[in-house]
Amino acid sequence: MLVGILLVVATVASFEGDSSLFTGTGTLASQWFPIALLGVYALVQIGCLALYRFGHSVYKIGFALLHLGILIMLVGFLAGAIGGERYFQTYVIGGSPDNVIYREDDSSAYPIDCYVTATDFKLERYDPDESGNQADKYYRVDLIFIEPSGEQESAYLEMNRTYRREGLKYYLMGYNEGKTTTGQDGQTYSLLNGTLVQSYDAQNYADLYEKVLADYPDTALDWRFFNWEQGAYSSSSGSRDENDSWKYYAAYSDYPCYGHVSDDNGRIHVQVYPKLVTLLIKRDPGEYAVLAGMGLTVAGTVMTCLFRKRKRGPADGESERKGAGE
Amino acid sequence: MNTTVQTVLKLVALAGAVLYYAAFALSFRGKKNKRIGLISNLLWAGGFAVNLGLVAYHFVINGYVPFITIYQVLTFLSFCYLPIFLYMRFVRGAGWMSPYFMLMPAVIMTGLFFMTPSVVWERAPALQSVWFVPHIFIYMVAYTMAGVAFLICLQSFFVKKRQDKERMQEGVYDCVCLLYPFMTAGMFIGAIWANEVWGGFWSWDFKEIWALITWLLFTLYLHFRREEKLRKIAPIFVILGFLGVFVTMVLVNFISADSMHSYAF
Repeated sequence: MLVGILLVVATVASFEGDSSLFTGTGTLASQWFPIALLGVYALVQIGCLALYRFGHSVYKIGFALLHLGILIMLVGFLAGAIGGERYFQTYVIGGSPDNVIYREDDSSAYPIDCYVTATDFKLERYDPDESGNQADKYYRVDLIFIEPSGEQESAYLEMNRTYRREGLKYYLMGYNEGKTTTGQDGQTYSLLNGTLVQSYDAQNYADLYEKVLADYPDTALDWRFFNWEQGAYSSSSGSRDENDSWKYYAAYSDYPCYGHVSDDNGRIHVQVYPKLVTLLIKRDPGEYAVLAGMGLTVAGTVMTCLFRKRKRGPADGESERKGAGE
Repeated sequence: MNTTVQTVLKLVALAGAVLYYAAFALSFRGKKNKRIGLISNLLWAGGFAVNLGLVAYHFVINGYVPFITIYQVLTFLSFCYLPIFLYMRFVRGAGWMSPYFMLMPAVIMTGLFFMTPSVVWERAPALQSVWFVPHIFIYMVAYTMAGVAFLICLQSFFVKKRQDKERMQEGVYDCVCLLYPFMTAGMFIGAIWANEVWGGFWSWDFKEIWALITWLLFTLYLHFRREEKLRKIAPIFVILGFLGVFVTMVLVNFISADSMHSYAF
């Protein structure tokens, strides 16, 4: 019955998609779902224990382990749903250390017991495909955790590599390499979580160039400006607003990235974004219980399904049924 | 990939399918005639060799296990049938299932003939995980058995002889008993992998939901089969479970482009 209900819930969720009552912040994401699931499942299992006598064969021990494993897994999910928390923080590469992270659900600040700074970010890409797109191949960020005592601890995050510290698990979830792709429109900014680091007002490119160069004297001088006169711009997405035709985009060869827009007075507003990374920081008190539950469940299914005695049916012998492959 | 290579790969897939179909067709007569049975087995081995060649080709081109696109995964899936049959034959004593193990790869290879071969091997960072190969491999074993269970189950609906029907149902149970631990492990390995990459065991992604639905359907089968009164209904869940496999593996990629598993297409 429980499996059937879960089946119906999952099927409805699959057809409802992201707007579903079940997904996102809905029922399935709330802590009440694992509570209800665990409650009903535990009751069913206790009822079964009371009604049936379990022997000591591999099959029966496996059967018990399987259901115990699911129970432990649900307890783990419940612990995670109740006591767990997810946070985000964006670190500018080479920026000043910060000891605040932000809760995912309400963006409220949460102080941690050490300061964190990102010192370096590496990104490798595959060769461009036929459309000129380059898929990510590898990325890594180097971090330093600074204790209030001044003691420092180095760590790094990369694809499929997390870092655990003081009950928190750090994930590298997003980055901006401080560079934009030519021809993209203002949506490029969305990669940066709206974080405006620095802005300039400039009357023309030469003015802009001098101002930016004054702040970033160490960067190479290989400017590549891409600008489109009114009517000459052709966006591949085709979503560009014609009234907004005096947009200028610039991509700098290395660091940082500039997106700039001219206003009605002909002034150029420039937004400068450095390299930055976004980390997911998670606290999940139920994680190990979930892993243990999964292990028990798999062990249980193996013992139950693969070590059972095979019933030999009446026509299952070496009769005329023997055919190709035998 | 240039069109000549694509054409050659398509023809190779077609040749494999023809060999599998021929083995399947002869397998019925092979039950009574040993010589025809031997020819059937040889054709099957030939189909397998062609299949092996396709898998090996993609392996060499990729320089890695060919699991990145649906084309490569299907190539590997059809490859799994013969080795798993050998397990079923020698460990579970289910040699009578051979025609079903011949037909499924034939159907898959036919599908490959109509698909565009792809050898693009740009693994997204998320795929560069130790969990990647076990996750796919284990699921392929489970899906192999789901296909065979489906065929036997389907045929059992049309068999009138009680003895044959019972044996087929027992065979279906055998198949599900093999697939279930693998499907469970595959799903959990995926969850552990997701926890390392996306920061959560489960995210109600479209593909995840359908993997869960498929698992639940086979769970229902096992539960229903345990009860004498409900046993007659149980085969329906095998049919639905196989449809679930099809949706999870293939259809989801067409339905939900924004799936977190979209790179699996």
